[in-house]
Amino acid sequence: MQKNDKFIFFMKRYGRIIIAGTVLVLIIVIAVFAPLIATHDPNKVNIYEAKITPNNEYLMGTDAYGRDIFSRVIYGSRISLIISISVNVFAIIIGTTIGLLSGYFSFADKIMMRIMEAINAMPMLLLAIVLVTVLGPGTGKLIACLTIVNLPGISRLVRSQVLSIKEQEHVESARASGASNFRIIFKYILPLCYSPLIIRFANGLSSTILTQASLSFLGVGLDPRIPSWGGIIGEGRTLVMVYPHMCTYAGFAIIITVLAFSILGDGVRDVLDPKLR
Amino acid sequence: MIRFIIKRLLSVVPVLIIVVTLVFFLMRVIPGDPATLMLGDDAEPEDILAFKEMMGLNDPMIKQYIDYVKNILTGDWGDSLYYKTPVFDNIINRMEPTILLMLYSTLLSVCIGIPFGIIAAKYRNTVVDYGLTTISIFGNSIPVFWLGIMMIYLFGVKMMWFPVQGYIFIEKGGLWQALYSITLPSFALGFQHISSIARYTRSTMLDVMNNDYVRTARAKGLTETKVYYKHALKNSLAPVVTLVGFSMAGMLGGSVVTETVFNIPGMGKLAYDSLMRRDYTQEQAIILFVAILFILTNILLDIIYKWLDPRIEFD
Repeated sequence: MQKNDKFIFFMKRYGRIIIAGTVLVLIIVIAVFAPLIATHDPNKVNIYEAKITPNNEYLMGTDAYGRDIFSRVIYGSRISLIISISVNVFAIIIGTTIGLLSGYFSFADKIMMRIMEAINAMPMLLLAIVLVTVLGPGTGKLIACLTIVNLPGISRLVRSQVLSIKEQEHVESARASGASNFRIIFKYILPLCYSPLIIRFANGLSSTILTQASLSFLGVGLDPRIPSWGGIIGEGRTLVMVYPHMCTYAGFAIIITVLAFSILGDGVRDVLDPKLR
Repeated sequence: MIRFIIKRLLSVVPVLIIVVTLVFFLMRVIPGDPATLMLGDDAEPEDILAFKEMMGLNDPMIKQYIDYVKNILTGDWGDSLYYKTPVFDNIINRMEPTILLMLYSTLLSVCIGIPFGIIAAKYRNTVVDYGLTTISIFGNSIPVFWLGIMMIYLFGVKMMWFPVQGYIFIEKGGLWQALYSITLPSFALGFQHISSIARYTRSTMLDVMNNDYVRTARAKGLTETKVYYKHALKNSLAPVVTLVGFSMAGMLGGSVVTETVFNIPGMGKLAYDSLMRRDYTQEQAIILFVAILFILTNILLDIIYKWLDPRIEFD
């Protein structure tokens, strides 16, 4: 009986993380083994097989150029995962550095926060579109653009944490015992920022997938030859009135992935910060 | 309060200077030469040179920048490279659908989101609550453009309830026609905000219910309904107002995608089209305009918030 109670408690606390995590692992497996799962070459154009509705050969049908949509959706998971994970890793590293510096040193604060405010003064999606167009298409450049638009949020989060942690007693006593600024920042302040950062990382993953999908939908950012979920929907858009299958499935792929990341984020948040529940 | 407003307005100046500078230099490094793009690939080299001279594209960057700032301050925002008409007029002409779209989406998300949040809070940890929470997590995961396309297919093509594309200006068809023509896009744009507003209302509502004055109200013997709607709801709405403002500002960005999907001749579509045409005088103007709108919205929010809850201090 007691064992059962323990199990229920465990599932209540970690259940969502386990379910969402399993789905995410599956998506990662699909991305890694895409060539084995895909039934066709995702980029093979075949005019004679164009605009076919889903059947046994083409599980999700073919697009206007006769490319197999199932294989394109499978391959599309790669670019979504690569971009969202790398963008958030870079954004967390750079944003945390900016936040730590401007929270700790007041001279850095004035300049940094004004720049961040200026970036923040433009709607995120519009800014991302402009930046991507300025830099031109390419996966690396797209990662750089999306990292920039994510910086203000993260650096503000860290800055506000630092401002309150800075006044706490353990920092005071470290300073009194002669610790250097560098040591105080990395040893006494940064570790206390970890849990909000982990929550932010998990939430950032889902929002980045959506932003990136919007950009590929509009046809900016990525090399159009790379299969991406947003791109598949963008290409199928003009024919949706007759062939809805061209847009539907890629949308499901986006929804499942984003849903898994957000549930994971919520689960992690509740474990790390139960007050917010 | 007036001191607060003035202080808040003054703090915007440096941000605006940085925005203007960023926008100017961003637009200049866009690959692709506007002159060739405007005149076509087979234009004579002399024509291109003359065009560049006319537009001031041959001057050194610094001089261009100083001229630009001067013109902005004197209210002369320049002409669009593509339309050849003043950029500011183009924006004003395109504002109506975008503003209406924003207001309509906000109205939808508030009218659906807040009641959902209240119900979820009231029936906390029951099937109703879990159901609504699941729906709202879903709402946050659906891409706006995909939802828009699916709605076009379902309600436009299959059921023929709503027009599929375009916008009817108020001048032409009256307010109702205009609203009718943007019902689908407003719903698509507002959908994710419905879920975030519902979730937020739920959590602030639960927060408020733990307060002493709610207990006092209950102890006085008020009915549960009265406690709920008279005492708790009013106090939990202050933070929700901020969120509504934030989502309105976010819709300015989302309108780029929504207007492209539904082919609405608004500011968002203009922003996207101008970027694709390398019409950078127009693009600069839109970004600047949107940034000013965005900043003003935020100030207005701060003021409303301060008015609702005078204890708040902004640094």
